[in-house]
Amino acid sequence: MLKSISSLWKKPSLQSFDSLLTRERLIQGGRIVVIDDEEPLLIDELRRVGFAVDHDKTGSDLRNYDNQIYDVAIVDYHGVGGQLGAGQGLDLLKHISRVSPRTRLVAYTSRSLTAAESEFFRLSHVVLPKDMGLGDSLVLIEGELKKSLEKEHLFESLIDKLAVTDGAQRERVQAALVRALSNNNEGQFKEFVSKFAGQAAEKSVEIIIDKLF
Amino acid sequence: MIPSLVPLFDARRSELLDGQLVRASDFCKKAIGQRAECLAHYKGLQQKPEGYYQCPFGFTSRSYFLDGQLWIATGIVAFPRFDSKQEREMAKQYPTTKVSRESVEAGISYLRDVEQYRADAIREAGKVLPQAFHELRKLNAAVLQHAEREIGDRGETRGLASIKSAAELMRNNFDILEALSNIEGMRALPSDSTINLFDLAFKLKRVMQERAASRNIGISVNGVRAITRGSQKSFPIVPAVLLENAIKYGTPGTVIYADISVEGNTARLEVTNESTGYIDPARCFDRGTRFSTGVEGGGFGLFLAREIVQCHHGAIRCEASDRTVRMVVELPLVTVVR
Repeated sequence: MLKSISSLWKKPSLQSFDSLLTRERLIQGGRIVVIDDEEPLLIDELRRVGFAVDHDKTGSDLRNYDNQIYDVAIVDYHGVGGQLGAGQGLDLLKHISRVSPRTRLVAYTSRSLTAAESEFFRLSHVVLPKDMGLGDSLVLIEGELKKSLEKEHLFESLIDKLAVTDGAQRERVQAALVRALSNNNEGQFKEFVSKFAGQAAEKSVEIIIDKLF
Repeated sequence: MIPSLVPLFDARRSELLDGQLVRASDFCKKAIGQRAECLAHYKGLQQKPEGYYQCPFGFTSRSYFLDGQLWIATGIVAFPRFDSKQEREMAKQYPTTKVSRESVEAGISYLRDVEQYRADAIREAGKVLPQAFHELRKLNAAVLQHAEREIGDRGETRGLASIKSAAELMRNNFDILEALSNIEGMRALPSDSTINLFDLAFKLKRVMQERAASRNIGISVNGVRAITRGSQKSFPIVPAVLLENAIKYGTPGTVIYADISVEGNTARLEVTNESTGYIDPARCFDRGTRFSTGVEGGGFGLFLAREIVQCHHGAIRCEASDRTVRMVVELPLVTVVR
């Protein structure tokens, strides 16, 4: 009895605010970029299904990544990101991970990478071999798209952007977020973040907060 | 190993090998097994610089390093001689062992050239093969993806399904080769994706059933939808290897069972097949170990499967009886999908 009463007082987890996303909503709401110097059939397949897909052949114009507009970035290793350094796709992956932590990163290659290059795999959220079947590729990408919208992932991205490393501070932010989500009050959370950060939240943080609500 | 013209002592294996022109004398063959001073002589050369030395019985030994290993051209009487009494005795008793130091040097020089060419070829292959491999994967991807597209647009026909399965099988083989050639890269793969063991086994059944049917073997997948965390790139290699082995070594007219179960916090995949072939459960996961010469293979599949399972914080074991081989993979369970 006592146990069931105390469970009523249990704080809701971030996961409990994840609404069931239908495939249609994912297709309508998700933004995907494929960064590849080639023309993989996958792009056409994603578009046929209805996804909004941009094809970036060089990865040299970083504005869209800096503005965090993508939910999923599918990044090839060779032939892209050369402007950022010799690491090509790896440097691009690092850049997107830094400026847009909410973007799910998919390492997209069928090459055998050397031990040094394998950081490309390690820093990505998931590896999509280029020679995987179209059906399996779509399942994987949809899974990443779904994860990109999960509250837990967005919260981690926010923590990353706010540069919170202290455990107690992290818990404060999480508790404030849970309260605001319970009240469905985005403004309440924005106000908290402004006070927490000591200034109005910068645009990159606001983007994540918008996604959270 | 490159053949030598004169008898050769392999210091790593403590073994005397015949030369192509000069065979090892009976004296040397006996001495190496029976006379302690013979092996002591070769052992002593490991501490000395490359050069000509006389063995305790009067033969000439020429030590040299090749590919980081000590070799000793030995059991010969080489001119110019040491001019000892034992040497004169051996030259009389074994006249076919008489050679010139010049020809010994020419032989060593030839071996060094061949070794250099071999090393250069491997280095060159290291540059060219990954690109060739990549092009093959791209070609295979085009076959697989266009077959899928055709199936989606016009419906599945037997021919299209076969092409798709063949391309998926080829992709599995590419994954195995790639993982073997780059174990460190394989270990670095992110391993927190969701893996549904039942769905994966069922998918592999579809891919492999034609191949199994060609040996009159069936595949049956049973059990629960156990979810574990893993790499979607490397983990599928594990059930692929187990099913492929079960098909290769299974008894025709039987069924391979892939069973997925859970116990506590553990997800278990068991692949069971009937086989009359011998397998040593303790050694079957060792790299390069094979128990059959009648079936093609390199003895790398199970080694790789164990490496991958260990990367996923799991364990793999083999249970074998007279007629049945069961491979058991245990992994941390995340949940079960009802």
